[in-house]
Amino acid sequence: MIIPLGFISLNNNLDIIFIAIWDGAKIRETEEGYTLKKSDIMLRLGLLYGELMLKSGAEIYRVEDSSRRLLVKVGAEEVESIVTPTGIYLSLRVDGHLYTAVRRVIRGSYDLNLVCELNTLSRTLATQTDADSTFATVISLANNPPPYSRRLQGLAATVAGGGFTYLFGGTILDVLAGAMGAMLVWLTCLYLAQLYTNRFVIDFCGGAIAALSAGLLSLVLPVNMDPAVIGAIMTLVPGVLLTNAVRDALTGDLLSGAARMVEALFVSVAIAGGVGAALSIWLSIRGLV
Amino acid sequence: MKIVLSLAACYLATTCFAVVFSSPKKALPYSGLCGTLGYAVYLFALELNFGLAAAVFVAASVIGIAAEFLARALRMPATVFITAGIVPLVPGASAYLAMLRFSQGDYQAALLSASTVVYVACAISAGLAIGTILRRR
Repeated sequence: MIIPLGFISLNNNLDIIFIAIWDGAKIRETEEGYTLKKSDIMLRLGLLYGELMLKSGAEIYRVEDSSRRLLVKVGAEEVESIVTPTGIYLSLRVDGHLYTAVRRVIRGSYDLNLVCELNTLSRTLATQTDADSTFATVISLANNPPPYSRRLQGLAATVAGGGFTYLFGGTILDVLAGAMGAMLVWLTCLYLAQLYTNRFVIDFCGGAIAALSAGLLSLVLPVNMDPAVIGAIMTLVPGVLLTNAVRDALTGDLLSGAARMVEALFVSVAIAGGVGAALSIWLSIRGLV
Repeated sequence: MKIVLSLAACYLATTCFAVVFSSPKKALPYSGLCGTLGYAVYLFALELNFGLAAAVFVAASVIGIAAEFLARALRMPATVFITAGIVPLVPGASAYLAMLRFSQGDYQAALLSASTVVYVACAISAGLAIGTILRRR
C-alpha cells in the first residue's frame, strides 16, 4: 500500500517536512519523481529527529547524543552535529562519502512525552535497522495524539496558577484570582499562537491580561495584586528557560546558553512590559473615576 | 499546618506544570514528587538559615539525584522529572519582577531582583550538575 508521508502536524502548525512515498518497506521517491539515495534519507532522518527533539524541549547534548546514536544504528559510519536552539547542522559519512545538511528550527512548545519516546527509540532500535522504516517510525511517533487535550492542559495551567499564587503568599481569595488570571492568560496565548503571532507580542498580551484581570477583581474584592499577577503569568515566565540556559553553558554549549539567555531576557521584558503597561493604564483610569 | 498546605499546593502546581509540559502520563506523579521534595528541602534549608543561594543549591541537587534515580527506575530521560521538578525553585517570577521594577524606574529593587535571578539560576544549574556527575561515575 502506498501512503504519502511527509506532512506532520506539530503544535497545531502544519509543517511540510518532506514529501515521499512509503510503500511499507522503502521510501521510494519525492513528489517530483527523483529517487532518494540512502544518504538523503539518512540526512533527512537525522534532521527530522533532531528538530522534533529540539522543538519539544530536549537539552542540546541530548539532541546531539540521541541523533548520533540513532544515525549510527541506521548505518552512518560517522556522525557529527552542531545543535543550537535556532538550527541544526548535521554531517554524516555514508559509504565513504561525507554529506552535510542544515535545518532552521523555530521554537516549539514543550512536549516531554515526545522527547521521551524519541529518546527511547534511539536506545531500543536494533543496530543495522534500515533508515526507511526508522523514518516512518519517527513520523508516526510525531503524529501520535498528544497525551493531554488542550482543555486539560488549560485546566492544569489554571490550577498551577492558583498553586503558585499560594506559594507566593496569597490568601484564598488571591489564589482564586490567580487561577482565574492564569486561565485567561492561557486562553489568550492559545488564541494568539493560532494567529501565528510573534512570541514577543504573545507574552506582552499575556502579561497585560494578567494585570487587567487582577486589577478588575481588586475593584470588587480585597485581592492583593502582586501574588495574583505572578500566579497568573507563571506559565509564561522564563524560569525553566533561564535555568536551562545556564545548564547549557555549564555543559559547554556556550552558543546555546547565550542564545537561550537572550531569549529568556526578551520573554521577561515582554511580560513585564505587558504588566507594566496594563498597570499604568489601569491606575490612570482609576484616578479619573 | 502552613507547611503542609504549602507542600500540597506545591505538589499540585508541579504536577499541573508537568501536564502543561506534556510529560508522559506515567511520569506525572513522580514529577510532582520530585518538585515537592526539592521544595521541602529548600524550605528546610531556609529554616536552618542557609541563605537563598545555598538553599536552592541543596534543593536542586536533591532534585537532580531523585530525577536520576527515577530515570533509571522508569526508563525515561531525567529531563522529564527535572523540567517539571525545578519549577517551584526557578527564578521566573524574579526575572519578571526585575524587568517590571526597571520599567517603573525603581533601579535599586530591580538590580536586587536581577541579581537574585542570576545566582538562583546558577545555583540550580550547579545543583542539578551533581545528579549528572553521580550518574556518569
